[in-house]
Amino acid sequence: MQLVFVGLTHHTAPVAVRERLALTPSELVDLLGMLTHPCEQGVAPLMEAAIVSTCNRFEVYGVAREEKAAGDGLGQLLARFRAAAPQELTPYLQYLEGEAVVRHLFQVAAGLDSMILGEPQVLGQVGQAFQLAQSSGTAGVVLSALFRRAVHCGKRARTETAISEHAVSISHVAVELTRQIFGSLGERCVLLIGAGEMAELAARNLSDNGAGRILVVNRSLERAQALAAQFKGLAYGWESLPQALGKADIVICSAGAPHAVIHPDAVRAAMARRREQPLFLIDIAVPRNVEPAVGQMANVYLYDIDDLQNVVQENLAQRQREVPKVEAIVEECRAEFTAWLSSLDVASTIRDLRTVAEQLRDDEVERALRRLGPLNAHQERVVRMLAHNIVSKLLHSPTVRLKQLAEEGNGYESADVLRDLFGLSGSLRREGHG
Amino acid sequence: MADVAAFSVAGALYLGATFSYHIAWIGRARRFRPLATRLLVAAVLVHGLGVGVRWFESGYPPLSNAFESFSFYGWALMVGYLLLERQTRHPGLGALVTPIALIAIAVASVLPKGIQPLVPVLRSHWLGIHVGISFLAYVTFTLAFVSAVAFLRQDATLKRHRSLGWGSGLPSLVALETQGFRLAMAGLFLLTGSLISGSIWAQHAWGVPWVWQPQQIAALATWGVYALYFATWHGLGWRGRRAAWLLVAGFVAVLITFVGVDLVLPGGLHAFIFR
Repeated sequence: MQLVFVGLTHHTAPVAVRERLALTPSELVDLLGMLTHPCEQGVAPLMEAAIVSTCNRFEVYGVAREEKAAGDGLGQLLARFRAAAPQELTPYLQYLEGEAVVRHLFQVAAGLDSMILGEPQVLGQVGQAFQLAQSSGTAGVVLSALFRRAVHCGKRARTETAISEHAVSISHVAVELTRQIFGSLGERCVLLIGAGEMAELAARNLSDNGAGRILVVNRSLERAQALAAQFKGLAYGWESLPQALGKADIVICSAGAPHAVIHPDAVRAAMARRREQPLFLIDIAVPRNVEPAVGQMANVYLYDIDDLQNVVQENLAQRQREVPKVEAIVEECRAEFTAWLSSLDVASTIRDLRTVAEQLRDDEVERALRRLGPLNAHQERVVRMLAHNIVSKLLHSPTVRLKQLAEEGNGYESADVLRDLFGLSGSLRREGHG
Repeated sequence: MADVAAFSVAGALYLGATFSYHIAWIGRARRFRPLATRLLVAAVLVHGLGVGVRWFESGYPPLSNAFESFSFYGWALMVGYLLLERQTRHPGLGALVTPIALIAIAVASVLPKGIQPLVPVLRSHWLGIHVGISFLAYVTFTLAFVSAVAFLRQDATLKRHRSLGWGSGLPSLVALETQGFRLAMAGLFLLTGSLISGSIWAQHAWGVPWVWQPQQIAALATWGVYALYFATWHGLGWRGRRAAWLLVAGFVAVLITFVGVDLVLPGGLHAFIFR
């Protein structure tokens, strides 16, 4: 039995190649079927298979019967499935075997392999891949355990390290800063100055995160009303800007104006009206809508587009510094999984089973002899033989059958069941499956 | 001596909790955050037991000398912080407040710890009431000070447009400001109680309620700083950095009242604490 992997990611393949492998769920199910029951000659079928498919990666995880994996065959099978010439795909494919497969999937789940380091979606996508394989009946003991461990590992990475902490996009940084100033966004009033696409996007983001009222000020009142209607907000004409400013907690400026439209005097007046409650100004317009001097005022926090960009860069660098910690978690999870996998080895399972049975036998024999009192040598031998023969004959059939299954290549499934039924150490069935 | 043993064990646990809060905050190792809390709870329980034993053994509230004062202050500060912590998941406040308690514990640990008979003037129920209320006021002001320091740090980070980094380990600006205000108000209320109970005790003991003794003056000045904070908050709408700096000033006044006057000017009516 051998873990195998073939796939391509944004690291190895351009989008023109990746899009050829963008499959619908039903196509994925077909492909899973083909991988486990190939109709072509020369391709060894996989005993188990799962596919992680996202816009940045297409990865096949499988369990092959032979130790020598059929990597090339898999690549060609993929190409034929998409009716593509092998050379269109194969140069971009990456092949892995054994522990490297485990490490790779755990890294993917932890977000280490993602385009944006530590992004959270990939964890869900790994979970979906597992569900699809399960419902298609192609996830057996090994892949089930592997994918459950992967999800567990991904969760650990995100809770125990800061790999997913701190926003790494402009709009998320804006939301995070807002939270850092006001705590929750509820009841907070957002003022949009300018009604362009940028303003709409930012408003959508804040509104999704629970912001309260939304006000829109725009040179064209009509456009302002249209945008305000989307968020059940209020629209104002340009001349009402000072009043609107006095009501807002968060101001997003994206008006196309040749010079600043918010001056220190207007902000000072607004601050007096709102009793020095903090005011957060996000100026994403170029040229800037807010005079930089406004940022010097007490309790006013002004971020322009470059400031936000800098925060994004710093946050990315901070995530980068978390990578060693995440690698350590991945390594820990991999070691656990490998230990479990090797316990599925038939020989060691038989050995463990025999050890447990013989221990039990010896204990019971001693107990019986103590209760019987003094026996002669012959009688004692008969008692010992009785126990010995029962244990040997009981274990004979499972031992032979297990060795037979191992030669056929799927002994590990039975080994795991055996470990579970007899309470031998190492069965993942006994754990909560994280 | 069971109380001194408990004090030593608690001291080690405080040290562990302080380190854990800092590892969780600055080192951003989140696993240490629950550990820090557990260590602190254990420390407070052990320390509290020690204080209780001492109270039982001596027969009077353990607030009568310098060791008992610093020890009680550190303990009450940590209990107060743990009550605050139930409202926040952030490790930053814990990292800021634990060193203060640790300093108090460290000072207490080098002071003479023996239980001595009370000087006659202190043999009164007013010892527990007056000194107890005063300490609760000091603890509340200390927590307000920590909120203000956290606020100033957050404010500076946001003004400089830096990545939040450690800042994410602290509550929001608005939350810190509100918390600081509430604590300062509670402290002002308690300090008022301390001044009144002190006067009543003085009236009973010496027949005069007020003798313009240095620590009384310092306590009155402290009361004045927080009253100013209250007045500017409501009257002039002072918020943000200005309000936070007033809380820092208030804490300096607390330190002068609690430690400075007695250390620098021995011989006053309160000087029995450092005899």
